[in-house]
Amino acid sequence: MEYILEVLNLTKQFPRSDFSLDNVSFSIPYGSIMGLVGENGAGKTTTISCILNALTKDHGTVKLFGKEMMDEDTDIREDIGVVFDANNFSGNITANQLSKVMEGIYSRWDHKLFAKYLNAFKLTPHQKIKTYSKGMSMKLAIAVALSHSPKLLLLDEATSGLDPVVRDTMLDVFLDFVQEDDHSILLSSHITSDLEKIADYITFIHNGNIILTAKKDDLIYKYGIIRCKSSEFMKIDKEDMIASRKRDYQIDVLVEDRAIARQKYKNLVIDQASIDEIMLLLIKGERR
Amino acid sequence: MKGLILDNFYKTINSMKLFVLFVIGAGIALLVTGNDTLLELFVYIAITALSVTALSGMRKDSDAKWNKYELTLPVTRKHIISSKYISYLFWVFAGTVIALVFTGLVVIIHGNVFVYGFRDVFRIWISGYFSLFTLGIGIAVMVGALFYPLAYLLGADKSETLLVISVISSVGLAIFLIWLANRGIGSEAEYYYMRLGAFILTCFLMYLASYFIAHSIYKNKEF
Repeated sequence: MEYILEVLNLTKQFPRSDFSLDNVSFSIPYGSIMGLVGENGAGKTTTISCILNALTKDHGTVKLFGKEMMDEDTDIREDIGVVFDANNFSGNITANQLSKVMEGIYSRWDHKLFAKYLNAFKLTPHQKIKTYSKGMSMKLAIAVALSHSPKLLLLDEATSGLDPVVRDTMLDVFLDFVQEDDHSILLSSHITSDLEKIADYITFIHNGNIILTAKKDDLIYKYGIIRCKSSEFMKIDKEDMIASRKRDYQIDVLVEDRAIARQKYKNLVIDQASIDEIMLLLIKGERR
Repeated sequence: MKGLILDNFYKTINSMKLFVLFVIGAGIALLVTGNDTLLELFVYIAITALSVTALSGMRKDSDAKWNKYELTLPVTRKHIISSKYISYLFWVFAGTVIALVFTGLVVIIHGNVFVYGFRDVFRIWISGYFSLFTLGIGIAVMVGALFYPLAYLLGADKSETLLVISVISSVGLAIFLIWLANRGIGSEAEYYYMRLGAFILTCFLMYLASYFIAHSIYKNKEF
């Protein structure tokens, strides 16, 4: 399988902080959407920043389109669209002026397509960006990211700050984007419902470590949560457990295959797991 | 890089409102009075204030995290630095043109208000305008030369402080360079143009050295 993005043993330490990225590894196949899930401060933005060379990695390799990207590899960056979680554009310019700026930067900038996105996202081309709300700024950033024919979108919390209606529109735009076989998206988010809707793969990151990468369909349709008492918990095979978490009156145990677990533990309640629940179990529970 | 220069232009032009008001007000006063002290101040401030306004964009870039976003664009870090230095020189030039226009109008209306009391090597009465503009341009160029490496080293969030430091240091450096030129080349009238030439050349060489220093700092900068 060919990968549009390969991150291998990415390590980044911050001298004045306890936090570090520790051997982060994951890969995104062409034509797919990967969700990067983690709580605030888990390392999602740091990972994306290292991929883009905004932060210098200490160890590891990052390959984009099969190549390690250096500062002089501007041709690789032509194919990448980026959205960060804050408004990155000067407040004193308008969307139209921003389009002229981008036309002088991207060789494939498409002003007509940008205008089409502005219209679809209900953004006024002549309005100064500083008067935009957070949601409008995010929509503008997404419009910019899409308007230069990128192949890879790196979206850092791009849907946060958007209302459910707009988020739904954006998710459709992202799904449309990956219809092309050579397009992919890395979408970092803690809005797991968005990822449940569109992601093909989900990678969970916690405290700078990757704790699980799996296909979204497997997580939802194959993984399960055993809900049991302490006495029943003792009878569960440790090999079957991915993580467990003691709650008030029960213990939740994450298993990789609930169909097999149902065969093995006939007396126990085994539920389908949501991405949210899986994330909580992996982060707040004890991992095997 | 064209887009980066345009971005710098848009950011600066939108901060120009106050400057435009100053130019109109001071310009009218200058044309009415033809006062030589006011002319001197107007030239220095017109050239320096316009270019200094361009430097205030760095703080805005930092606040908006444009600095980080810029690195994801298909431009190199060298392009990013080059665009700043080119843009800054453009505003020094624009300030010079504005100062020249008003100076020209003052001379037309009031005559030659700025004459030095000695003749140059061509036996022509030396006009103070050469010194005025050379000093104004030189100080403006040195402000940029000092500001950019400091801002990249210490952080654009300290822009205001670094700007003040750069302006004051540039004035001090200008006084030192003039003293050095007088001592090194000679203070006689026949060496007038050589002193001016040495001064302005030194300022632009400083600007060039600053570009390499800023690039060296910026190429390892993290956002």
